[in-house]
Amino acid sequence: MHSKSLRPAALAAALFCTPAVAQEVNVYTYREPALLKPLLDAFTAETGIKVATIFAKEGLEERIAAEGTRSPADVFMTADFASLERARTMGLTRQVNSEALSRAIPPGYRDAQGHWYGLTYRARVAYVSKARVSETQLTYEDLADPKWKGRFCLRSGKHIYNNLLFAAAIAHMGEAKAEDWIRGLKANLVRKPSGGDREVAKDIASGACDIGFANTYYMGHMLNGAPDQKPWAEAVRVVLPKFRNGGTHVNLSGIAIMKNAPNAANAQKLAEWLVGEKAQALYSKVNYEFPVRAGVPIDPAIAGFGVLTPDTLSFEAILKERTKAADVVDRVGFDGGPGS
Amino acid sequence: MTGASAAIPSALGRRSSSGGVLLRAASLALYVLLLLPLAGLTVLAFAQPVEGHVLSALRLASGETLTLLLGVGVLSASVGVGAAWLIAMYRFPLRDILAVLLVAPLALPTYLAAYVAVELTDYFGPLQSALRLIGGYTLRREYWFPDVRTLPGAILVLSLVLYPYAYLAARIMFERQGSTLIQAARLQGCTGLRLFLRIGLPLARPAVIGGGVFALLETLNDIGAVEHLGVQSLSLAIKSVWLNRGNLPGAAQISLLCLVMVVAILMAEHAFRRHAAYAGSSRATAPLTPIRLTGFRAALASLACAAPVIIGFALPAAFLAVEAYRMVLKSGISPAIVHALANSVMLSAGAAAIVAAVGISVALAARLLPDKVTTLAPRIGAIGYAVPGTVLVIALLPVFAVVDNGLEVAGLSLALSGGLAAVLTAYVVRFTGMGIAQAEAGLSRLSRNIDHAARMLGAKANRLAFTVLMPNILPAVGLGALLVFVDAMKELPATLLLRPLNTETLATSLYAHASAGSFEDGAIEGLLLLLIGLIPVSILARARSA
Repeated sequence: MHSKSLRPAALAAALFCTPAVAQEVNVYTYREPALLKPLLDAFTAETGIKVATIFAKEGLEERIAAEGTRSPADVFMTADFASLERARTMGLTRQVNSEALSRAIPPGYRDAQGHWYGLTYRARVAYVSKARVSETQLTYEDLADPKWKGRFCLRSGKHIYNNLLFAAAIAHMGEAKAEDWIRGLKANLVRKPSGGDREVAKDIASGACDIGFANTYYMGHMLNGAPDQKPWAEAVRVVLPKFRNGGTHVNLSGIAIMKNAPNAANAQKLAEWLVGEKAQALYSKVNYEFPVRAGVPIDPAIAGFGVLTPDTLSFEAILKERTKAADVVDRVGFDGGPGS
Repeated sequence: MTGASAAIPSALGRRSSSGGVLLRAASLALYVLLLLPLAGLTVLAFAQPVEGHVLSALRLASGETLTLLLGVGVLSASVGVGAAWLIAMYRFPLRDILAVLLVAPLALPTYLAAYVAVELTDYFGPLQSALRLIGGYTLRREYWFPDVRTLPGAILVLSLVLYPYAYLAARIMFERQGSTLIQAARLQGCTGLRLFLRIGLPLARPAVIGGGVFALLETLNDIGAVEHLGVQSLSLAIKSVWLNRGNLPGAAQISLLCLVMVVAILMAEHAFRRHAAYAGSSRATAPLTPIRLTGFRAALASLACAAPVIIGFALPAAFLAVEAYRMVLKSGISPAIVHALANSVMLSAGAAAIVAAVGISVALAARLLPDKVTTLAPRIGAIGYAVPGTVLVIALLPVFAVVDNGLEVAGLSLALSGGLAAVLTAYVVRFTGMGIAQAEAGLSRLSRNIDHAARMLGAKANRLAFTVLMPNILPAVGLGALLVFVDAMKELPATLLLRPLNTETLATSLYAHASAGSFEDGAIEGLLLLLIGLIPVSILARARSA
């Protein structure tokens, strides 16, 4: 560094946020940078609009709220609908009426008032052992059957993926029946909940367990990513379970434009571009997700699972039961594992 | 120390207090810095009454969390003190290099240590694969192998990256203060294990507690490792209360309770330490003459010191090196990684320098100008360490907003939020306890007679502080600064949530890969974290041997 350049003004600019230097569109995101980068690069290449990002795992809503009217955040991109809805209820989002967005996204996959829009979805499905499980059709309820005792594995019941799945179960069956179901799942566990979704595949491949819940996109990543993970995925077959009175549980990734967005017009351009055919196909190719837009080709890695029938339960109905789902997980001591 | 002798410096201090404005101001500044997030946290916690699920979350997590803390406390202290004793007392093959490398595991973030440990030890890892090859097995149930995704596994993994705190503290104790005592005991025929149990262990007690506290606070704060290894931890319970139940005040309530417990423990430890007079005399201590080990005993000592280095550093480093090589072949070293490296080093060095300055000032003020304000200041230093990282940041956000409102009113188009200054502020809040603890430890080794003599000769507080005491505690402060540097390099919650747009550090970049489910893709960043961590570690070691 040249010592002359370190004048007070330069130092201040380096240490503090100077609102005068506005980026062309600023993205606060819970989605991992590796996934977003190809999409945002393509957006910039097509539109000339530069994108700045900050990635975190939680707390971005609080940061945007604290930044208030000074916030540089234009859009908020999340990996789940819960965070989108949280941002809306915290009053951080703005209503956007866009023909392009409404046309591309089915009504259940966006906020009715236009505060947030879904971009892609993925399903929480059953990974089963190719060698030891013959079932090709399952309900979520089936997994509580004692025949799976000592054969089922899962990550922490507190993790948001499971929290939302359990909330959906409560919405379907009512709290008492869902509690019985979760108690049954716990009794079937082969080990204390640990690891992530990929560990389900890994534990199936090593013979530690035969079946478990995990998200669809990990299969694509394991098959096409690090070579050491390929055998895990190859030991696994995906079954798309349904709730007895519904479909397969899905979670939505999405986007919201911020109330105090300094570049709201660019933000809307980005949102609209992301539901375009090119971006939607790219989502499927890069992260093996299901596009919200109809008629977009799905990556073969996930298309081969069969026909996905997403649950018809509204996202709002699932969110209402989140607290109860957390209560049930605590009450049955799910994370204590079998025998606890 | 008796009441009478304690009264002398304070009386002198009062007389010359006009000279200590700077020191007192530093103490006050620390209060502002630490009490603001505490106020933020308290406001948050009292926003609503304690709900039933908060209590049940606490109850569910407390058992395994306490076991984890106890396990990590005992194991990390045993490894750290044991290794420190061998290094301080004996000469054996590889001793000099092991003395340095024993600190190296500290550079490994706990969650990365957990991921690597699972990769190395599970069914598909190299260890079990080799075992299957040798034994002719195919299935997991045909042989026994320890499972790291368990509570004991978590204790082992965390202990092996956190023991260096106890190791460093114990080594200083043995080599500096304890040396006279150890030499005397040796002359009286007390050697070997008996010497360790009767002299070494009691000597190491304050070091164990002081160093162990940081290991335990890191454990309490960890969320990535414990979730991966399947421990029902308080940190995960806090996150669930906050996000699954939408109860941020509840999360703040649990955090505040943690904080109260930690501060109580620290206060108790301090009171405990005051009764035992560890302050050495002002005379130069006799350096230890290490005993040269030979044959079987030398091999055993080498092995004992090499084991934690191999498991805590060499194996993870080798794993990361292999994965990093794969990444370089695949996509080369992107300029983004170079930027992340520069950001990491700049932020960590900045934090280390500020924390060192705060530590020196606060510790000196407490010694030279003792009054209620200055003597309590070092005790509150650990506040930042005692609150779960993300919760601390959430508590800081409204504070930054208030400051930014002030800046706006003042007509300055600058904002703390969204700038690197916010990240630095959070680092200082978080790590200042380490700077103070080391400066205090350095001061405690200097006899009060020095102060008295200087005062008699007419030195005012400032002069005494900066010309007489400070040069003597610089090595200790340097140790603190280097530890802060290493800690800041791997810091995650504050960096992740407060950093400016388009700004990555090695830790955030690595974490982004890990949270996408394949931490191996961040192997270059992980390896760089470890290697950069070796620089302060080797400086530490060189300062030791000088």
